[in-house]
Amino acid sequence: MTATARSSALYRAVWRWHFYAGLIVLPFVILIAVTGAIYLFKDEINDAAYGDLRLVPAQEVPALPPSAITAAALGMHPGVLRGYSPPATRDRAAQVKIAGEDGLKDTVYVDPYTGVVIGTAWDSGVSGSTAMWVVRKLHSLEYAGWIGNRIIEAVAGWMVLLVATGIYLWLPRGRNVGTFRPRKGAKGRPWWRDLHAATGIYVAGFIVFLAMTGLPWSGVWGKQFYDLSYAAGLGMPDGYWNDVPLSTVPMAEALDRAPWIAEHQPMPMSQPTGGIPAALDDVVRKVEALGIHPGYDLAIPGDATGVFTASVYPDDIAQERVIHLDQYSGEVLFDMDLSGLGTLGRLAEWGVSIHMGQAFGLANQIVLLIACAAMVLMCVSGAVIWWKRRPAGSLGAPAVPADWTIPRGILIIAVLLGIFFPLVGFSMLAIAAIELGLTATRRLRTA
Amino acid sequence: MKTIFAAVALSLVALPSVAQDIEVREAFARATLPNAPVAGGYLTVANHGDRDDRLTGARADFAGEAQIHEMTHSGDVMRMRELPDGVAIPAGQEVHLSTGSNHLMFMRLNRGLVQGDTVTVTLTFEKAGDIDVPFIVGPINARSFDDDGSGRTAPADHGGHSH
Repeated sequence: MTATARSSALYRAVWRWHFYAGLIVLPFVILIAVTGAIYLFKDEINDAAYGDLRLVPAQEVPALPPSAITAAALGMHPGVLRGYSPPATRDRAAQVKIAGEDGLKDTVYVDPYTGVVIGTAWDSGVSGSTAMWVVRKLHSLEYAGWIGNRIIEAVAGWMVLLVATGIYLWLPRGRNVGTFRPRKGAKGRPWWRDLHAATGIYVAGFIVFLAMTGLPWSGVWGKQFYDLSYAAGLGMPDGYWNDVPLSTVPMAEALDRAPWIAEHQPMPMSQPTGGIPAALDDVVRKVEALGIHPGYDLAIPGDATGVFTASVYPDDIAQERVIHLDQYSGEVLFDMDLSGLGTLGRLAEWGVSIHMGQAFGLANQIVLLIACAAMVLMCVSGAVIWWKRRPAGSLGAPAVPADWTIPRGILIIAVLLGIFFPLVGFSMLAIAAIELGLTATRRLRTA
Repeated sequence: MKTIFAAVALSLVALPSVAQDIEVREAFARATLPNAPVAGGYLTVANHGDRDDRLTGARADFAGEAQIHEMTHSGDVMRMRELPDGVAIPAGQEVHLSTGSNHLMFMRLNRGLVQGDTVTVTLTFEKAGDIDVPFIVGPINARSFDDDGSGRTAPADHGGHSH
């Protein structure tokens, strides 16, 4: 086999894999790009759609103390207090998380100046609204359960492979095709092909970045990443996410005097409608004195050994912070910001922040929005090129070569990638099996 | 305790506040947690007359201000807003201001409301004028006038805890 024939065989092999991978992940890439583009603007969308709950007229008077705001919320929405989020700015409502008598956790929006309850909504956590919660769950396809989430993880890995194979196919080889823009006078399929190639080369870096920074969330890759970086002492220290410290129940003291939070406790928290830890105001004062960034959430201890946890993940990740306090003594048990994390943990948080369009503000959001639009364009143009060259009534996949001479280098890269992205590895094996099957069938037929 | 509560309740049901054609009954407020700046008030208004009336406002010595609020639901979101024009009380009809719908909002409380107490609220009607109404202070989670707050619908966290 000549060098030209070998390189042409490789070109066709790469093209075939790019074709199969692209066709299979195409609908998922559109899903990820569209939901991602929406979620980039979740705060803006939530403020626009639910401004009547989230925003209040700013007032010059000081806001009511947290105990008053939570008391107001519990009065209008009886239940057990689970969390309190002070208004991040003077024109925002305070948010009180209450596990209601129906067993559902709700967010109660309270005007911090009057204590008037503005409304309630099902607590959708960091998403801020049910609609954005759905978008987030679609982005990870957790909406479709465990399988969906694994599919998205595989898709993320395949996107990296698509970029790699795509760049290989894009490499100018002295052919008359568009590289950085569609060739002059191109129409029809050549124009779409050039659009696909040229868009791809600009957006390649963004796709790889978004795929790689999305993976820390994933079930297999992400778990391995955090486990390994933790083991290497480069990840999240104990207490940041896991192994939260416990409040030490002061048994001896409890006998002759009430625990700290219960001293002025209006009623035990085990009642159908719980009270407010009397020390809520003290806890808030304490974490704010420690300089926690506005917009933080305060989780209320859920049981006898639970802790107060103040946490914030602001746009400026240097301000990221987690503080745990003993519910009885009010003592700070744990206080860490980004600088306390291991190198890989810090890197992941930084990547996640850019991935979510937070790190660099509006510019970050707009650049990623354009990247999302470009990804949709890649999918559309990819589908068009396939459709236009597809012979009537057949899949039109690039032909499987009779001779399987894949250079050893490429094979090693494929194996390494398959190990690095386990779910990609599994799907590669599946596709390879299908290809081998097809080749064998054809050999049988021609024999 | 329950018996006394029931007896008081009965006496109030037996002696509804009637002024001309307007009858107010089963009026109650929820007890407040310490430091609570607001409290809700709930009641049933019957218009026995043949002309429409309107509840336009309320005041009480324990609150700096009282408003009439509406509650609207859309999907999982509930919103509460002031009804500046109050609530219509059509002739021959009964209107409920309850924990799940329109209600009174007592604001800038100058003292807490204690379960078992009775507080007086002055309701203002467009035609019937001012009516003083005794409000029973029920449990903090009371859903109705005779709800003893025992948590008939206790949250899932406390399942199995019977009273």
